[in-house]
This record gives sequence, structure tokens and C-alpha cells, in this order.
Amino acid sequence: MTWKELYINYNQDVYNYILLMVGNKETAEDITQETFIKVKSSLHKFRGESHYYTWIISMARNSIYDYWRRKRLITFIPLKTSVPLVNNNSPEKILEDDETVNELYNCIKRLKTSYQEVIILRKVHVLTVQETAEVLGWSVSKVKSTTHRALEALKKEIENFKNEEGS
Amino acid sequence: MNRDFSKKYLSEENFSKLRKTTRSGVQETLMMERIEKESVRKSFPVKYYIVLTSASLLFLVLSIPFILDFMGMSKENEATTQLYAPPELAIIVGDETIHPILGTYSWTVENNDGTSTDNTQDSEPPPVLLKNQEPLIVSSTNELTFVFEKPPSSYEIREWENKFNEVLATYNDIDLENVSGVKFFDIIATWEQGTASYAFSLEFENESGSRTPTVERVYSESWDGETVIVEEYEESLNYNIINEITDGKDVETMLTLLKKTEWIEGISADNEPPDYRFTWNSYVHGVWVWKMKETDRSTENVVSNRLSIIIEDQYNHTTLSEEDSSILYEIVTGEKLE
Repeated sequence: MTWKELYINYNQDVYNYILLMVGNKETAEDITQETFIKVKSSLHKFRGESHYYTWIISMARNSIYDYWRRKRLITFIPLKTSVPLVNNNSPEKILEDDETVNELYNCIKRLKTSYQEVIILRKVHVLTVQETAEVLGWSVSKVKSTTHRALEALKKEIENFKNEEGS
Repeated sequence: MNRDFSKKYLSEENFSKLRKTTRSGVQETLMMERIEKESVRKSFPVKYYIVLTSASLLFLVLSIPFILDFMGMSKENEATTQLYAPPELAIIVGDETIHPILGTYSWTVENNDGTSTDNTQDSEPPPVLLKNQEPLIVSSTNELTFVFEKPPSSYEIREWENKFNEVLATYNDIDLENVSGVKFFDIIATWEQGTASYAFSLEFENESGSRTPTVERVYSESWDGETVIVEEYEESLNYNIINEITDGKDVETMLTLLKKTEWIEGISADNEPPDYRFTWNSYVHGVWVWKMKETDRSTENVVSNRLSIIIEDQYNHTTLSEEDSSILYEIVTGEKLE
């Protein structure tokens, strides 16, 4: 496939993935563009070991991390991190008209980054465990256990959210 | 009642609605044109090289006439082009290219109306900036090439102490004979428009071409006698001190277990925060407690409590046996592992 074909096939998915990760439309647009610049320049290195889509998504993921790094939203301290790597400004309303979906998204954004990533890839983008492992560079078993823990945490967030709302 | 709420939210339908959030009104051909243009701009012309080279040792070769030559040649371009951010820097070793992290910089851009804008960025020291990055592995026969987007008028290279975040030494030439392990550097370069620092780390292979094992790197010296302070992770990002190991016998046992266990080298572990951490001879150990499920053919799932450990900056990890896990847990926390 040429990069243009890849762009036409996947740009909306890539944009969506980035948007859910960064929570800002303008930024998502920029990072999508940056991702496809990388896709274009490194397409000759693609060995076909993974699906195009997972390859592009991992490139998008790298671009997101680059962006956060540039913005200094990440401090590279593995032993201390658990704050979401994104800033804590409440994310944009992603879907204008569906309140439940917006609330779901807001609850996802309150999770730590690794949980957000795994939920977006496994649940929203319905990647397989294997594909998710490729994108995140994790082992299959780590993807499984993290997905499980992430969903538990998300349930808790939703319950908290509902309790806050109710009180 | 709460369960119902989360069920209502966590439906496949809602997740798939989230995926449907795409952008509207974007003309794909226009975007593609932009990408085409942008990628031409990004493949910057190579104007200047600093070469770290040698057959037996690594050197920074600084050749003044060579630089002047190049600067002279590119002078025409420079007069007309100013950069809006510090130039990019790439480091090439063999087939690999890395882009160091841009750290602190100060950059002045002339505006069209005769005024100018100063951009400055402050950053963490290189060992902190690079904490989550694998170092580039180099051996003494490698040649390192530094490629700047625009030639600097001067530069220096600093080596950083990784535990105290202090500059160890400043060089124009680095003689890197007899070094091993992971080293942190930054290169500070100055242009007419400003100064920028770029951070990178290198891991030097030892003579046999392989990494020295953790046991040699970390545990070859005896205990410095400093109390081993154990901290427990708390939800709000903080660690609380929960134990202090002062008994030499306990430390001895701990050391025996850590030397005995099989360390997996060269892998940076998960960046989730560890449950506990402690410092032995200024090496910070992160400890995770988890339940390992083992499927045995004759029985059902066997679950055992295990400790996994990483040592900060050492790119390694290990998981202790069931028995050793419980011994170490008790030393570290003062409680039984259940």
C-alpha cells in the first residue's frame, strides 16, 4: 500500500485514537498529520510483521508521547508516575449530543494513562489482545491483566461519578 | 444500584460510539498535500557534522578548519533563514538514529517589524529527562555522528552523574576509553539565535561486547551500612516510609536473595509505580507484589505470591521464587506475605 492509501483507509481511526488520548481536537489534528508524515517517511521500513493498522497506531502513540514530552506533561520518573500523563484540564466534549458517552469518556480520562490506553485500544478500537500487545510493547499477559484492572478502575470511576452527581 | 450504572455505561454500544467520533469537513486531499509538503521540509539538509570516532576509543573530533569551511559554504542560506526553534539534532550510530531530547534552551526570533521574541524553556536535568528512555548501546568500535540542522558556533558536551543530577565533567573532546555502563550526556550548542541543550544517554558495552550482569554492577560492593529505608506507595503519588532495615543480618539475607535471583537484563520495565521501594547503596529498588498463576496439569490453577523487582536506571528486572518472595517481603515490610 502507498502512504496515501493508508491515509485514506486509516486517517479517521488514527485521528479518533489520538483525540481520545489527548482530548483536544486541534491537537489531535496536528498529531494525526505528524503521524502520517512519519508513516510516509518510514513506510519502506515496514516489514509486514504486523498489520498496517497496528503499525500506524503505534506510530500515533509515539507521536502522542512526543507531544506530551514537548509540552512537558510527562516527567520521566517511572517509579513515581501514576498521574495521568495528560494534563488534568477536563477534556473537551467529544460527542456533542450523547451525554452518557461523554460521561463515559470523562471517566476514562480520570484513569491513569496505561489504563486509558488499554481501554481505548481494546474496548473502543476493538484490537485483539495480541494487537494491543504489539502497539503497547507489552506482553500478552500484561495486556490481559491490565485490561481487567482498567475496567475495574473504570467501574469505580463511574460509581464515584454517579455518587458525586447524586449527592 | 451502582452496578447498574456502570453496566449502562460500559456497553459495547457506548464504546463504539466513542470510536465514531471522527472529524468532519476535513478534505483528505488537502491534508495529504500538507503532509507531502511538511515531510519535504522535515528532511532537513545536512550541513554540519561532529564525528565521534575511533577504532579503539571514542573521540570527539573537533576540526576547526572543517567547521569554518562548512559555515562559509552555508553562509548565504543563513543570512536569509532564521529558525523558529532550536535546530534539530540527530545522533547516528551504525544503522540507528536517535533524536536527543531538547532540554533547556533560549531562542530569539527576529520579527518582521524589527522587534524580537525570546523563547525559553527550562527542563529537568538529563538523567531525569532520560529516565524512561533506553540508552543507545554503543561499543568502542562504533562511530557516533552528530548531525545538526544548522551548524552551531560553539558547543560543549557534559557528562552527568545520574544519582545526584550534577554535571560531572565538561568536554570538548570526550575520551571514552575504559568506560562501561550507562552514561548521561547533554550537548550544549550555541548559535547566533540562542543556546540549546540536547540530552542523550549511551550504554557502553564492556570488552566482551556484552552487558555486565546486575550482580556485578550493583552488588559487587559490600553494604555501606546506611539504613535501608522502605517506602510504600500511596494513592496520591506519594511514598510513605514504612520500615527501616538496620539489622546487618537482614541486609545480608536480602543481598543473598537478590544475588541469587535471575535478573533479566536490558529491558526497561513497566512504568507503573511499584508497591514498595528501598535503596541499597544508593541503588533504588522498586518492588511489586502480585499473584502468579501457574497452571499445573494435575491440579487447578496454583496461585503464589511473588515479588518482582527492578533497579532504577539499570534496565533490568527479576521475579523471585515463591519462597524467596515471602522471605524478602518480610524483611522489607516487617510483615508476613499473605
